[in-house]
Amino acid sequence: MSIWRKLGKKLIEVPDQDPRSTARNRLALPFMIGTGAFLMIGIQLVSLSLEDSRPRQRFADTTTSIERGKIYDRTGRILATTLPAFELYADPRTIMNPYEATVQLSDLLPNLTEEQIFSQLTRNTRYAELSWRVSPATYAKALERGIVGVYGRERATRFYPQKYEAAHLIGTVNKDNKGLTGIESGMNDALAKGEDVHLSIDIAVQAILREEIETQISKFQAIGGAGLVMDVKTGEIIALTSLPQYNANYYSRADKDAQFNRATKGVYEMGSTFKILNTAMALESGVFTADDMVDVVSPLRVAGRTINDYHPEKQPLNVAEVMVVSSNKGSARIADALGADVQQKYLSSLGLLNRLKLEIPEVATPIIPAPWQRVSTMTVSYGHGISVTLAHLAAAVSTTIGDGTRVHPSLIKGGVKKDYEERVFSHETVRQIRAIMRRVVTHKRGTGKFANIEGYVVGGKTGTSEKIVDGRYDKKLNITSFLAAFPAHDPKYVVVAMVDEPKGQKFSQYYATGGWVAAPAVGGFIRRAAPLLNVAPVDEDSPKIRPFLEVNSPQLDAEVQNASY
Amino acid sequence: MISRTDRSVIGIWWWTVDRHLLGSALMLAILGIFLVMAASPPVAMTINIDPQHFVQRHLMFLAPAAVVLIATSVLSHRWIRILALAGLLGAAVLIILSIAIGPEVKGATRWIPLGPFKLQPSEFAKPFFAVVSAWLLSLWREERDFPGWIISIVCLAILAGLLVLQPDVGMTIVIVMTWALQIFLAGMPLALVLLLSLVVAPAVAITGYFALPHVYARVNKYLEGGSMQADNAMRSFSNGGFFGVGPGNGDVKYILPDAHSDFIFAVAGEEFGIISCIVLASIYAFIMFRSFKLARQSESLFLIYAISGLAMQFGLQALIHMGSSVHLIPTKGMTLPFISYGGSSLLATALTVGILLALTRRPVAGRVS
Repeated sequence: MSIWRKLGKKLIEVPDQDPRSTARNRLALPFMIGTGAFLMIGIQLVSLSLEDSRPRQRFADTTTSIERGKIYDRTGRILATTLPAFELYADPRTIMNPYEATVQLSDLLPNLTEEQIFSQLTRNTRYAELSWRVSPATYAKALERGIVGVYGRERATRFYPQKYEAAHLIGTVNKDNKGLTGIESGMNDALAKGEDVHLSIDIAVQAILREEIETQISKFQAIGGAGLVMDVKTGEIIALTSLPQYNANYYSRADKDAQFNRATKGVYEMGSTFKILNTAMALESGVFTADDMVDVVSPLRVAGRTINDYHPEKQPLNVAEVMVVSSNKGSARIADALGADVQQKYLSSLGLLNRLKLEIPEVATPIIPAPWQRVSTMTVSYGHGISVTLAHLAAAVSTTIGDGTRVHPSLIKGGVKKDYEERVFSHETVRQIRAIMRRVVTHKRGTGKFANIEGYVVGGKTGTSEKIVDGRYDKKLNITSFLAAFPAHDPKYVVVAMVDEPKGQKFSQYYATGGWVAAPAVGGFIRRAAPLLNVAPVDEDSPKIRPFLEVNSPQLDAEVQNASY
Repeated sequence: MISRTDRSVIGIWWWTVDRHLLGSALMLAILGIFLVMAASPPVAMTINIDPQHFVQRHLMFLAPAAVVLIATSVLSHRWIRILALAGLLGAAVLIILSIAIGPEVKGATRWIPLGPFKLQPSEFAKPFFAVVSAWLLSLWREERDFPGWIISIVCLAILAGLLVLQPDVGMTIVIVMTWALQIFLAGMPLALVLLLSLVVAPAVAITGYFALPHVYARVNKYLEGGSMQADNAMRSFSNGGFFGVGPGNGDVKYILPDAHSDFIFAVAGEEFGIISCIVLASIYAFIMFRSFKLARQSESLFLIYAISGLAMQFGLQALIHMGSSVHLIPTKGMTLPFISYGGSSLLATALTVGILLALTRRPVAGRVS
C-alpha cells in the first residue's frame, strides 16, 4: 500500500485499533487546547494588572480618538466645531455634606434649582449627573472649591458659533456626538471620520435673507416664514432659513415649531409661482406659442367647481399675458389643453412628484392629487391641490430658467455631481420664461413691483394660497410667497421667500398677498446681497440685454395706452 | 475515623473517591462564599432589597448542593446511567415548559418559577447529556451494530434546538462542545474532524452572528470596543493589581450589572488581586486536567467518554466566564462554577462534580486482595 493510500485511509476511516487506545491518544488534543486556554487567561490577567489603573472612563465612550470634523460655510467660516467641555457629576456615596455641597454648586449650575442639586447629591447611586456640559472655566471653579465627591470628566462638545443662523440646516448632535438632525446627521459618516464638510451656504447672505423675511413677518404679524437662495446653474443652496429659529447650541430646549424646518420639511401649496412651470410646459410641449390666445373671460366650471380670477379679465389674453396678470382661468385652460399626462411628465422631470433629495434628513415628499382628475390638472397649473417644499420649487424653477437641464438641490459646496445631462426645456423656452418673469415685475398690472430693484433686472412671480385647516381651505389663513430670479436675462440666483399666515395691515390696504408680504423681502434681499454675490448692476436697456427680454403682449400694451389717455 | 475495612456505603465511598477532586471542589465552594459576600451586597442595594439577601440565599443553597454532590458520588456507574437518562428526559420536558410558560427575564425564557425559586432546567440537562451521550457512543464502539452515534446526534440536535429557542447561546455552545469532544475521542475520522472544525463550525458561527440579533450586537461590541461592561470588568483587574484593593473596597461591583454572578471573577480581581484570580483559575485547570488524566486511566470506554465530557463542561464554563471578564471573548453571561451566586447553577455544578466523583472512584481494592 502506498503511503498516500495509507494517509487517505487514516483520514476517512474510523480507526481500526482498540477504541480505548484511540480515545487515550486523542485526549492529548483537549489537554493541549485546555492548557493553551488557561495560559491565555493567565497572561491576560497579568497584563491587565500591569495596566494604568487610573480610573478609565466609566461610561459610554464619547470622546473617541478622532475629533469630529468641522462644518464650514462656502467662504470658510466655521459653522460647527468641537470644543473641550466637562461633564460634571457627583458620587453621592462620597459626598461629605450634601447641604454644603449644594450651596457651593448652586451658582455654577444656573439651570438647576438648589432642590434639584440636593436631590441629585443624595441619590442612592455612585453616579449622579449634575451637568453634561460645563465650560472649562466653570469646571475650574468647581475644582477650586474642592467639593468632595464632585467630579468632572472631559468630553468633546459640539459648539455652533453662529448660534441661531442656519441652525436648522447645520443640525445638532446627541450627547455622544452622533448626528441627530441637519447636516450633522446627513453627513455624520464623514464627520465622524474626522472629515470637514464645506457647505454651499454663505452665512452672510443667509443672515440678510433671514433678516428681510423676519422684518416682513413682524410687519404682517405672521407666525413664521422661510426662504431659500439657490445657484441656478449648480443647484447649490446659498442660503436657507426657517423662522422662527432656535439656538443651535440648545436644540433640546427649542419648541417643536422652532425645530421644524419649513424650507425643506414643510410642504405647502405654492400658489401662482407654479404658473412659471405651467407656462414653460405649454411652450415646450409645442401645444402653445407665447402669442396664442387663451379664453380668460368666459366662466370656467369643472366638476362642480368654479375657477375664478382675482382680477376678472374683460378680453382674451395671450399665453405670456396670462402669466403676467396671473390668471387662474387662463392657466387652467392651458393645462387642460395639455392634459394630465403631459403635465405629470414635466412635473416628474422637475422632481416635483418625488421626495426631496438633500443632504439632511429633514426632507418631505410632495402631497399630490389622488386620484389625479381633470380638475386636478387645472388647479395644479396655478399651484393648488399640490404641496411641495420651498427647495422643490427653487430647484424646479432653476431647471426652468437656468439652461433648461435638470438642477438638483444641494447643501454641499460644488453641488451634486451630475452623471449625465437631463434636458427638460429648450433654450428658447428658457429665454421666453425669463422674459415673462421680468415682465411680471415691471408691468403695471404685474404683482412683483416691490421686488423691482434697479440695475439687477429682477424677474419673479408671486404666490398666495389658502391654508388647509381640517381638510378645508381657510380663506383667512394664507401662505404667501415670492420667487425671483436675477438678473433675469441670464439668471445667476433664484430667491424664494415664504411668509406663513400674514395678516393684512392698514398700510397694505389690508392686503396680505405675495406681492405685499413676500416680494419686499426678496427685493430687500437682492438690494443688499447682490454685491456679496458678485452680481453687478447693469443697464437693462443696453442692446446686449434688451433683446433677451422681449415679450409680445399687445392686449396689455393697449390697456396701458388707453389708461394713459 | 473510617476504617479501611469499613464496608458501609460511606466507608467504601471515602476510600475510593478521588480526594484531590473532592478537595478542589470544597475549596471552590469556600472561596465562593467569600466572593458572593463581597460582590452581592451592591447588587442587592441597587434593587432595594436587604444587602445580605444574596449571601443568605447562597449559604442556604450550599447545604442541598452538598447533599446532591455526595448523594450522586456514591452511586454506581449503572445508577448514574439510569439517573442521567431519566434526568435528561425530565430536563428536556422542563425546558419545553420553560419556553412555553416561563417568565421572560432580560429577553430570555430559561426559568420555571417554583415558589420563591427559579429553576433553570438547562443547567441540569448539561451533565446528564454528557453521560447519556458517552453511553451511546461507547455502546456504538463496543457493539458495531448499535447506531449510538446517530442517536447521540439526534439527542444533541433536539437539546441544542431547544436551547437556541430560549435563547441560551452559551449553554448551546457548552453542550455542542461536549458532544464534539466525545465523538472525537470515539474515533471520528480525521477528515470529518477537519471538515467540521474548519468549515462547518465557522459557517455555523457566522450564520448565528447574522441570524441572532443579540449575538450580532454582542460580537460587534466586542470587536469595536467601548462596551461599558467589558471596560469596567477590565478596569477592575487593573485597579486590583497583584494583591487587590481588599475585601469591600472595590468600585466596579457598584457599576457591573451582574457582579454577583456573570462578573464575579472581575470582583475577585479587584478586591483580592490577580494572584487570587490565578489561584482560582488554577483550581479549575487542576480539576479539568486531573479528570482528563483519570479518564485516560479508565478501563471502560464509557468512563473515558463520560469523564472527559464532564471535565470539559466544567472547565469550559469556567473558561468562558473568565474569558469574558478579561475581554478575551465577547461578554457572555455564564456563571463561574461553585463561585457565582445562583441556586440552579450551584446545584447543577454539584451534580456535575458528584457524577464526576462517582465515575472516577477507584475500583474497590479490597475485593482483589
